[in-house]
Amino acid sequence: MSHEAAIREPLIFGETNYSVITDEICAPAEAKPTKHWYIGFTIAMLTLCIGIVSFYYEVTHGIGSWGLNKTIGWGFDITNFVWWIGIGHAGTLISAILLLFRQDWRNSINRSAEAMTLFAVVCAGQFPIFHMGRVWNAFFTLPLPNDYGPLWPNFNSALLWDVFAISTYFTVSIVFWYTGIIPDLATLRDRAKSKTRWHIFNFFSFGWTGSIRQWNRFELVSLILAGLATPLVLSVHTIVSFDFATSVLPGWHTTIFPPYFVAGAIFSGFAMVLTLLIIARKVMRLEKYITIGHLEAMSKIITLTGTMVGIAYGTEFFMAWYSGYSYEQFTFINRAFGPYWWSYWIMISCNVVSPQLFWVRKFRRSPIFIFIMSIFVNIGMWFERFVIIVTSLHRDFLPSSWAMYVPTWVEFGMFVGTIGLFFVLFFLFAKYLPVIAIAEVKMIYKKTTHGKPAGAYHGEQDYDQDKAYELAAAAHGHGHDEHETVGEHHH
Amino acid sequence: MIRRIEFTSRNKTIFMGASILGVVLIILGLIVDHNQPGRFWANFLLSGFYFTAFSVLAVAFMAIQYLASGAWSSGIKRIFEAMGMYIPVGIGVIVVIFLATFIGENNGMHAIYEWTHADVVKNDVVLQGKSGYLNMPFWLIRGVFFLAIWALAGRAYRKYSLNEDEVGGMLNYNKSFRLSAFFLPFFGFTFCVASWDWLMSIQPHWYSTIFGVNVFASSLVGCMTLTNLIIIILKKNGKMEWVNENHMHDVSKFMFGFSIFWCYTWVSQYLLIWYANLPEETPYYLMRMHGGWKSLFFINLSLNFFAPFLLFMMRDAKRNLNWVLFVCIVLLLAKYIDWYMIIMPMTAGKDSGFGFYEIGFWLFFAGIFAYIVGASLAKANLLPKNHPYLVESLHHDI
Repeated sequence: MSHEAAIREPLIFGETNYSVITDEICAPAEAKPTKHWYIGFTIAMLTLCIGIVSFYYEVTHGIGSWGLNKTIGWGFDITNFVWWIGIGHAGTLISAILLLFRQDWRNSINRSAEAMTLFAVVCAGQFPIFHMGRVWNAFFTLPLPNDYGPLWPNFNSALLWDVFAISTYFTVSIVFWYTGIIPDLATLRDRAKSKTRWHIFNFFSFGWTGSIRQWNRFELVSLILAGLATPLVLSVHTIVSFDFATSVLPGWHTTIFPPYFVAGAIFSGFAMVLTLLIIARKVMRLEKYITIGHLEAMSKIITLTGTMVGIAYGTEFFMAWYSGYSYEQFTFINRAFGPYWWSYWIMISCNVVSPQLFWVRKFRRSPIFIFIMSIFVNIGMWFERFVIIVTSLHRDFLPSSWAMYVPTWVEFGMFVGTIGLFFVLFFLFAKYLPVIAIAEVKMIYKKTTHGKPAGAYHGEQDYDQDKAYELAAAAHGHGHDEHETVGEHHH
Repeated sequence: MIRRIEFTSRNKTIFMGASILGVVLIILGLIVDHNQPGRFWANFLLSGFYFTAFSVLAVAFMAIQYLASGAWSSGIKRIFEAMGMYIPVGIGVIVVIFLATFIGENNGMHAIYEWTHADVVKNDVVLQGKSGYLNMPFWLIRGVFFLAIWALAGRAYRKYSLNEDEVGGMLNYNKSFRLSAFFLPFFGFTFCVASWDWLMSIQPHWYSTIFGVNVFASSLVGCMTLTNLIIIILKKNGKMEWVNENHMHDVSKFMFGFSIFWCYTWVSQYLLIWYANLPEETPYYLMRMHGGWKSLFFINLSLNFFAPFLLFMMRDAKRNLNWVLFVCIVLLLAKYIDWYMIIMPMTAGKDSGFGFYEIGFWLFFAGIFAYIVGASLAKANLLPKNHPYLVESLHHDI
């Protein structure tokens, strides 16, 4: 039987019980949408419309409507693609890796993070597809038996590996997400007031009854999926990094790219989770389940991954000098002090410098501060991809090929449009499905609240470990926990 | 509950005996394989670095556990503390290599690092460009500085932890937590730099940005392997009864997971260099994939990845004492081969082999390591008292 130390901050805040947990989490999915929801959804829809217009223009006018040229063949398109794919990493990290590491705090954020992952991958997928120009031929990327003679995708190309990596990732993520949601769909079914609603949720919950056997298989399948998804978290962005690193281009070809891209992806993914959840917990009144402690844990991951990314930047810069390879050296000097210097310094300040503020406990427990920081990180990580792609390309080996890249309104429109798409999907999710995994929160409820001194809280959800320790010690006479002094009695 | 162990005179004899036997073997090596200074010093570096890196990771692992509020490991924390006590020996290794350089042209750093030869650098534009970084005094200063900070951090954890036994409360936990916040980023950066200095610069024209991550992964696996080994030895002697198969399972998971991560960094480095096929990068692998090195190249990959991957795949495998012991021995050998492959081709070169030097130096450092860890474990309670998360570790059940 596991036992939690008193100083571990409870993951559910305040007085509650199983029935209240069900009621509170199901409430938004059962009530009529609020005014906030309608306003948000409308804005998201309008933003999506900008995207639709831009995508339409691009398909009818061709890639020439973008600001790309012979030197700079990748610009906004691949920047946006990598940015969205990166954002899609937090969900699977939370659901798979944190499950393996037994991080209980994942239980109240995994549902929404996984949903966000799926939506981000949907947005990401648009860019390489529309970059093909003739989108109707997009299926050429798949190794299908075909009537085109010896026409097959190039299996040596990292771009093809991307097709496999991302489609696998999307498939496993959606299976993982859907598996987790089945018991909660059954809960919604059991609470349904109308017959139609009952039948819809019964169908989508596969007639879940909650028998011991079903729970047993549910747990087993979650663990197996976690095991399978863990290498996937690493593989997707590793292969995205191969798109660059398998080339011979200075600034792209460097061996640290795979782990550095993965760290950056987790970094940006958590930033987006924070951006969404800080709003959601406020609007949907979920502060009880998504506590300051949750936000703090995510902020710590932001600091960790931000610092890892910082070490990677430093390593790259140093190795460029150390290599003694003049093109490599030029590329890095040019990044920092060339015509795109501003994008480089935005990247450094947003990704490396600002997350260091989270070393201060007060900052990483302030929702407003974390929200602002998460926006910074989102911006910084977009610029990271922009820096890698555009600054490495725009100074070619031959100075006569040097060029600059200026995006057109079509590219801006497509980018903004995918943000709209992302939020439309998220709003629909938040309205129709439980945004917190009810069953999983209940799993940890007893463990995380039992024996935690309520007096350790002061202010708004500020859990003081020292105070908790003292209170627990006082409650148990000598020593702060009866279990701990087991050894003492034998002396 | 027996909280203390005794560091018996029998232990002392065995561990010191191992070191002395090592010295004897090295002397035998000097007689049999005389005039092989490259191989001699390469082995000194290899075995010296081997135990130092694992000990440094023990301190880093403690830092990770504090920052992540990891509780399960608090019951075996004294093992990490004891391993951290070994780091000063690493300073000795660096200083001896540096000082031996002044014996003669083929000794110390001259035997290991091509860039220390003035006449070579004079005729090499690339090495001249690096000489601001790759020069002997700076190399020594960096090495000693990094090791000193790591060793001091290890000592500080130890001090706080022993003080916690005495006074209880949150004071020492909070101090350790703060120390971890400073130590971990420092470690992350400096450990990469140290791996470039000590290992990567052996082949000074070659560079790989992922190199430090690869060495980190190796070292973490090595550290966890030694941890499991120490647990097994103590348990076989009837000690540490609060540590059960659940704790061993977690340590083994780290061995398993980071062996896969090691392979990930290995593939990242190999695949990208193979794919780009640049003349700056490929010589590293060309040298290691031809001639006598070829078989070792594949043995390295098999033992470091396939072996732990298959042997530790099942849940029960990570919880069975004797099986874990077997995998530990495989991985200790695997890590040795991993770094052997990095160090030897450029230093020992044609003289490379496996003989008196290799066994001698490994035994020499292994004896010192065991002595220091054993003595440190005996000096304090084996089970820390009053650690605020100890209760979770004692109830650990997965």
